[in-house]
Amino acid sequence: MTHSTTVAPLPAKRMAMVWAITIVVVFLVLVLLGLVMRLNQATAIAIPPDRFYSIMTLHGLGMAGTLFIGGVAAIWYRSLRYVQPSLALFRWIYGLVLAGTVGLIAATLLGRYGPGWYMLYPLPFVQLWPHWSTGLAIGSTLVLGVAWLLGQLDLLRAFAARYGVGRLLAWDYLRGASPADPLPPFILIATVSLLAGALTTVVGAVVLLLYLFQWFMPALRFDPLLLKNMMFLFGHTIVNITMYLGIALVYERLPEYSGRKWSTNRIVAIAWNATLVFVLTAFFHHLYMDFAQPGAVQMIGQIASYLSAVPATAVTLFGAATQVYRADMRWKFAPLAYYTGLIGWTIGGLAAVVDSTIAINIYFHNTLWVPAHFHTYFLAGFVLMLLAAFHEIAAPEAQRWAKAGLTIFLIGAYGFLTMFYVGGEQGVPRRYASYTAIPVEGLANTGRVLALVAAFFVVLVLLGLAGYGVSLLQGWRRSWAEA
Amino acid sequence: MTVLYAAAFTLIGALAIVLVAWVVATRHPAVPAEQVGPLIYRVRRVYFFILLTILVATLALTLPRTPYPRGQQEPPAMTLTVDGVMWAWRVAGPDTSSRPAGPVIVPVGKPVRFEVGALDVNHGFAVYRPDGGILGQTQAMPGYHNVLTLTFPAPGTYRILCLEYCGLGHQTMFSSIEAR
Repeated sequence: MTHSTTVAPLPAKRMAMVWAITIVVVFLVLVLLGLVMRLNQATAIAIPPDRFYSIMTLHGLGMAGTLFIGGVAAIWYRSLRYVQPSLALFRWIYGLVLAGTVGLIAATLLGRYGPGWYMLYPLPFVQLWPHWSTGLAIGSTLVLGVAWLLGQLDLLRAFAARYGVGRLLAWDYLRGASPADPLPPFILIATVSLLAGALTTVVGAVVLLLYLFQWFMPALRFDPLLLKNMMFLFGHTIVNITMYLGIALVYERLPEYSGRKWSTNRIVAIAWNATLVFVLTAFFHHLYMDFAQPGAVQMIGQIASYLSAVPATAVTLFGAATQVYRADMRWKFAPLAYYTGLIGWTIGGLAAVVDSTIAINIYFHNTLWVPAHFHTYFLAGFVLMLLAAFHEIAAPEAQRWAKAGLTIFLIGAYGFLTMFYVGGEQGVPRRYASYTAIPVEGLANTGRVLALVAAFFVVLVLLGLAGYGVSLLQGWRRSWAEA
Repeated sequence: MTVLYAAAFTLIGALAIVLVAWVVATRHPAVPAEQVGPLIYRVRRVYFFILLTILVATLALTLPRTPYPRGQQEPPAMTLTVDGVMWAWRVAGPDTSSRPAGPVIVPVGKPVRFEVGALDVNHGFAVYRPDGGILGQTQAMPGYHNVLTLTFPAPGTYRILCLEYCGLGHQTMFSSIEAR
């Protein structure tokens, strides 16, 4: 490798391990909540709608938040090779994230707060659940937002301290320079992700502050369309950059197993600068069915969504191909999970681009096609990358259980996802506590049966995670002791 | 058919992605990186131009087919006002100032204009065909009117479902339109 290597000190590694086990456990619990929802839709169990929608809200907010901060934590640890972000701050962030998460759990499971992760204005303020739970949920999400912002800003600060603000987006490479201190693609991609994330976290914080004002002063009224735009700018970007954090890890870690360099060059620089533009403008595709939006921004949404496929595939996927094609790969668990994660990310991206076509979105919007595509690039994509990153930190030598777990996980994940895709193709609505009342011929039964089959595959996902968990436990003690 | 084509395209694409990824990862024997670079970059150049051509062509084909109101559309045979309210649809016909009690009747094969809004929170106005599948949809947002023009292709009972999560009764928010 061309970069100087600095072994992370033991306290940093232990902090990363604490993050890893916390994220994995929370993820496991959130998958269980997903299983409960699918079982209810399958009529295998019966929970009341208020309980269902509060679980749905916790599942959505929890998954988006947990996976995002998990990605930030993994980036933080790997960035220690190049830069010096604050360990103390990341301890504080851990505390803030725990506090925010506990608040959200209380608001949803005790207070039955249930407007969905996106809290579409003005639903949180209609009295369907106790007033306190709305306030607690908004406050807790704000605490999480502060923690996320602190983490993102500190990493950007650390990057800038080593490479200089002007170099972080690799603009010197755009001019054709070959700098003496090369910018690792890991830093470039993390910068693009965290910059977009920090900017839009501020937007999300503004929305939440407005919500807080509304909570204190119920007579206030805001524009629902403006708030919807702001909420999706925040939510879409956070989810999108979460995946890019995973891609940054792939760029950083695959070379460890292939023995080949993966460096920044002009093409990589162009690709990720373009991605920064696309990631901030593609969110309009969430509002295609708001016909009151200006036509121009609808078109920008489709064009940005389409063009985002160019750098993602032509640069990242071909870059990955140069890593593994006829390479002397050591296919341990981590590179397998990174690589299969890349496949899931690509398939999910394809389904997303299809849905980002306005003329098609009219048939897919808010059907099961939507959770189909984002579960693909999360469950079969980013989650695998994150599991790989954590495994490398906590149990790099424990292979057997991890590989067996990965196989079962993949079967479960793709089976589960297929049910979503079939449901979307059939027009089964998303976010329905139950399909039984749907008056369209055959649709209720289709939704119910698909949910039942999906629940079976979720059990396989859980079994796969159990195998992964065993491998973590096998390597934990040794990793905890060694820097 | 659009939905079927989109799903088939996604399925074929997904299988192709898995196949290519498998081939790329399993080719032997191992050689130095310098030997594979030129080949992959050549393929990338071709891929880049093919992808760009497909994307631009698809944009050119699909962007004119948006569901948004356009100036030169055929005048609607009927205009209906729709309001979403927790958890029901209020559909008002042209000849009534009050809300009709029974299902709304619309003509087959002629454009029907829906002016869709909401009285409380966001809803999603989606019209399903009698045999399943979505005919069209738009959001119902308080303070806004989204104009959706639909042509009902065959006689029958079309169902209105809410496709934007709107609270605890969301999964029961239905209504009907009769096309004759």
